[in-house]
Amino acid sequence: MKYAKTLIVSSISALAVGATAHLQADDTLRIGVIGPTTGVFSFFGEQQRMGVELAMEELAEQLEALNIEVEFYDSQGDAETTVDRLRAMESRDDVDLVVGPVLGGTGLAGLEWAKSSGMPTVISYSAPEDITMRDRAENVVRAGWTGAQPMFAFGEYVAEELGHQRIVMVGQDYSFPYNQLGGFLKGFCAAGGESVERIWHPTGTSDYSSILATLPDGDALLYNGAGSDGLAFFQQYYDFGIDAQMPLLGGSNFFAVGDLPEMGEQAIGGLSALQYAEGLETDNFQAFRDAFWAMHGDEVMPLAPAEHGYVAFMMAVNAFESANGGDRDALIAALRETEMPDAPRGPFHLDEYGNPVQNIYINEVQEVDGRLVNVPIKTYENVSQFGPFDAEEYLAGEPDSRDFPPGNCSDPYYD
Amino acid sequence: MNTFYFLALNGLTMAALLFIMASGLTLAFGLMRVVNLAHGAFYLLGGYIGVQVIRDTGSLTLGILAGGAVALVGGLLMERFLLQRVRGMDLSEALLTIAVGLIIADALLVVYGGQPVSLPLPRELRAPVDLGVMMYPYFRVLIMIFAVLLGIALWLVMTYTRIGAAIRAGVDDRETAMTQGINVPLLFGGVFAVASFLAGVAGVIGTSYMSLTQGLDVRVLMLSLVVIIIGGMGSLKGAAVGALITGMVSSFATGYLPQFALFFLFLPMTLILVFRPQGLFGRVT
Repeated sequence: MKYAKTLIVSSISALAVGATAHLQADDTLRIGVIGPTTGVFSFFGEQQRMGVELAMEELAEQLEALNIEVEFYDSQGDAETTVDRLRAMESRDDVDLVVGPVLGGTGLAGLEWAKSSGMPTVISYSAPEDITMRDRAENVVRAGWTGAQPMFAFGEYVAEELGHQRIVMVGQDYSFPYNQLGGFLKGFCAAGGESVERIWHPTGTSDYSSILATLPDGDALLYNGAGSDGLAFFQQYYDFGIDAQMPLLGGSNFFAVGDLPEMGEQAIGGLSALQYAEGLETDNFQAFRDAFWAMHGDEVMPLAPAEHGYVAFMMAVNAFESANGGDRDALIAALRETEMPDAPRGPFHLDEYGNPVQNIYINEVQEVDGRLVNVPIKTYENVSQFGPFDAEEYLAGEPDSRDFPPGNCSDPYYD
Repeated sequence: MNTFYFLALNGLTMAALLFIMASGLTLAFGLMRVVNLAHGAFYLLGGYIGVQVIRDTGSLTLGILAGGAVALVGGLLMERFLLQRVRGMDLSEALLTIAVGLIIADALLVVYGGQPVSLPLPRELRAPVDLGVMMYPYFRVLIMIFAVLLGIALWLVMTYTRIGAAIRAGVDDRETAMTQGINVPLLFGGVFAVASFLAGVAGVIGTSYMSLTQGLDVRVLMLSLVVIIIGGMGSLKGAAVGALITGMVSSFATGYLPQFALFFLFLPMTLILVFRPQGLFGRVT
């Protein structure tokens, strides 16, 4: 009797194990999309989600033919939560490929995890340059950008086209603005600029009046930050009439992501640079924007995080298609060979480090059909994450920091 | 020289806003011995509601009153239904106010989202006026005037009215005040309501130049605590002087050494805590 009981128990467990094995061996392919859809940064995660949903609708046939399922995960904008969700994707939900994360810190956390797991990963909006530079991993590619990437071109534009020689920069004191300024300086000095004076303030500063009171002289001011700090700075800059002395230039996120409706008409004419512009007039872009509006309503403007999510998802599905299934090595190889000639933002392909080589647009804020949009006024084509510089040399150099590269263009560093 | 005036005026603007926040906080503390850690959340609540009302109606006054009123109701409810249940238990009171603060901030996040918000001020308020020494934005001047008037009003009430006398008696010796026939629970509710009202009003006023965003509640609360620790908890005069010191130090530090702005902001508080823990105008209990 006892023997029979043991037999029953063990056969049940054997069945259970068999069932699990069967579940894992099924031919469903799974894509996990991760981004902050709740919390303070939910704007970015929501944009990505809406972009991915649009791609899912457009690729419905391929998804069905390849038997691909999509699951959304909320990172809450937190690095630890991101890693928890990523672990759950792999061990619990049997995900084959990850799209995301979106923010800088969560991107680095996701990279660390992806290195140890080997999961094929397409990072979307997250911009720390070392994700595809000094810390790069074979299985991680990026659909978006590095912080310095659009700023090489912006620096060049400001020195060459606008003729500004001396720039005053006010920026948030953390790594992303360092990287943005690094790119700006390298482009600016190479194009004949003279100097950039830096003023860093702690993130979360809300009163800039005293910084504005002691501004050094310059030809223009670059505000190197975004979010609530950027909005407060913008308002106070105009309250004190500094715009009459120095025109205001923006870092990549300053006019481009979210704050523009709050800034109002004063923002018109504001210049910044990004690999995206919601005022693009190409057929590919307008088709994307119209489809986006048809799906999500036209009060939401698709901004860079939405397009990057859309494109990242397409890259993922293309990879499944050419790998003909979920084999990791084949997927990674396919991802690395990504070419997107019809992306809404313009054509791009990945460099050998896994970051897009793409158009950079110098954008001007204009009012179009009653809303403020960033309209491209100049395009720099085929810009890589190394800008005009040699990749090996760039990688051998110091990473950008608070005081590097030097602010004076006559410094021997620029020779 | 121009820079000096500029920085001094900035310091005064900030001091004015801090005083509006801290005066309520310090009175409520003096009377009830409760550090209301939800004070920052009432700033946020008042700010969001006020901005929405201003956008819908176009009236600034209405927005400021609405922001204050919503915060007032919130404060009153919290005092009546939550704080009274844990009267006298220091830890429970502090934790309760933290909890209420978090709940309010999170609810606002759900309703208004995480994107920063700015206040649409009419152009004539943004225009600079001539102060004799330099041009300065009109609404910033108004903030200073408002703070001074508020300070005078509070001082008059505290010094010359029965209510003021009752509050002072309650601050000095709660038990004795109760035996004298002062309705202390009613007084508590009233003071708490006024304090929350001021926090809500500060939220709308502050948004005229600082953008409103999640996390600002904690920063504003921290600054108000710095002010009342410097000035001495429970003292109105202390709140004024503390606000002035904090505003000026912050303004000049941000002007000349922006990277160390936070360091200099907390330096006076640290020194006070070391050499005069009860604050400049506080009393040893």
